[in-house]
Parts: sequence; structure tokens; C-alpha cells
Amino acid sequence: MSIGEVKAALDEANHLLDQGKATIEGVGAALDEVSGLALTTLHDSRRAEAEQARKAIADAIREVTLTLRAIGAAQENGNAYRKLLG
Amino acid sequence: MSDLLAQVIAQLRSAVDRLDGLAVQATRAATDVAGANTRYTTAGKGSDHPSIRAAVSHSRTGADKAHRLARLSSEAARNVTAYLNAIAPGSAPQATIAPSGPPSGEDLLSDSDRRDLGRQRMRGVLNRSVRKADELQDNAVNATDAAQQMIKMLRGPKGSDGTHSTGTGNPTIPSPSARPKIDSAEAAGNLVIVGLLVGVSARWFARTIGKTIARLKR
Repeated sequence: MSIGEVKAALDEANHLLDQGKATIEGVGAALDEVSGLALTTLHDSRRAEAEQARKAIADAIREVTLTLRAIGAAQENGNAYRKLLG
Repeated sequence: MSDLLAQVIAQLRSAVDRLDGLAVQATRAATDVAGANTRYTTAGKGSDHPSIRAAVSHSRTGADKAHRLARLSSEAARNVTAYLNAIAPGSAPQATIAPSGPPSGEDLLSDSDRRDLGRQRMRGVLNRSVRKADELQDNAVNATDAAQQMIKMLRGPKGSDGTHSTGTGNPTIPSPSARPKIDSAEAAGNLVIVGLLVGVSARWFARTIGKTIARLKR
């Protein structure tokens, strides 16, 4: 693999991560909305299904943060390596 | 179905739809991040540099997390659906097993089909309520019809003009299109007339019996 090909691959990876990050950010914003909407409705119910739904939505929201953190770290390191190659 | 319940159901159904859509989006993001991981792996072949190694491992984690996010979103959709089915049976489509991995075109199609089915079922529930209300109204109208027929019979032969027989005592129920609209005031009036007739005949009966008894005593 030539140095030019490595650089191209790193640039592509950076672009793909940008795209993924934007999508996940959108998912996070929508989840916040859905959670506001669904949790007010599910809020009073002690039913097991409502409890599970609340938990799954809360878990998903937490996962958004973790996903964005991982994507950010990958991008940071990949771009640092790209800079080394000049 | 109360307005409040209908509102709650509509809200939760929209939440289910959105969560399903978010699962698809998160899967798409996972595919992008997995693509980045592949690029980093290729670019880092033969390199021990900590930056590229970290990029490889973090992008792997990112793809896994995005997949987990997709799973959690469809799990939330399934749970909300289960809750909907619990509070209003038939208002939500039966929960289906979430597809693992990226959704195929067929999955997306069946997903939209499933939503259509759900909408149809919801419509079914609402229509059934409306139909029940209609039936109730029909029954009320039939009752007033029957009362009218009875009044006609009690009023005597001049009431029957040959269009229907009074002999059987079995009132024929007119077809819905020919059914006259009867308002509640008229129905109440009819009932009053029935009451009066019954009262008058009861008095007449009692007086006749009294006379007969008096005659027998003599």
C-alpha cells in the first residue's frame, strides 16, 4: 500500500466518521424528544411493559453519548496519524 | 373510547414509529463507523503507531455502540408496543423480532407494511366503537318503533289501514332506509300515551269486575 493510498484511506475514514457522528447526533436529538413524549405518557404506569420501555429509552440515550465519545476518539487519533504522514 | 385514551394511544404509536426509524438510522451510522474501522485497519497494516492503533480500536467500539443503540431503540419500540397492547388490545401491531444486523430492503418494506397493518387495526378499533354506538342507536330506534306499533294496535282497527296486519301482534320492523326519525320528545310522548291507555283499561277492567261481583251478590 502506497503512502498516498494510506492517506486516502484515512481521509475516507474521517469522512465516514463525520457522517456517522451527524447521524448519531440526530438520533440523540430525536430520542430526547421521544423520551419527553413517551415518558410523560408512561410515567404514571407501574406496568412491567412501561418500566421496560422507560429503561430501554434511558439506555439508548446513554448509548448515544458513548457512541459519540468512541467516534470522537477514533477520529481524533486517526487524524493525528494522518497529520504525521504529512 | 375516551378522548384521553385515544390521545395517549396516538402519542405512543408515534413514539413506536419514531423509535423504529431511529433504529434504522443508528444501524446506518454503525455501517459508516464500521467502514471507517475497515479503512483504519487497512491504513494501519504494519504500523504499531499508538494513534492508528487507537483509531482502529475506538472505531470498532463506536460501531459496536451504534449497533447497540439500534438494538435498544427497537427494544424500546417493542416495549412501548407491548404496553400499548396491554392498555388497549389491538391498538398496536404484534411485536415482531427485531432484525439483527443492517436492515435489508425487504426488512424496511415489511416494516412499513407492519405499520400499515397497525394503522388498519387501530382504524378497526375505532370503527368498532363507532359501530357499537350505531347499534345502540338502532336499538333505541327499534324500541320506539315497537312502542309505536303497539300504540297503533291498542288504538284499534282504525289505526291499521291494511299496510300491516295486527293479528299476529308481531310488529314488523321497517327497513333502515324507511325508518322514520323519532326524537326523544316524541318517544316520551308515546310512552305517556301507552301509560294512559293501560291506566284507562285497568280502570275499565276493575269497574266491570266490580259490577259483575255486585250483580252476582244480588
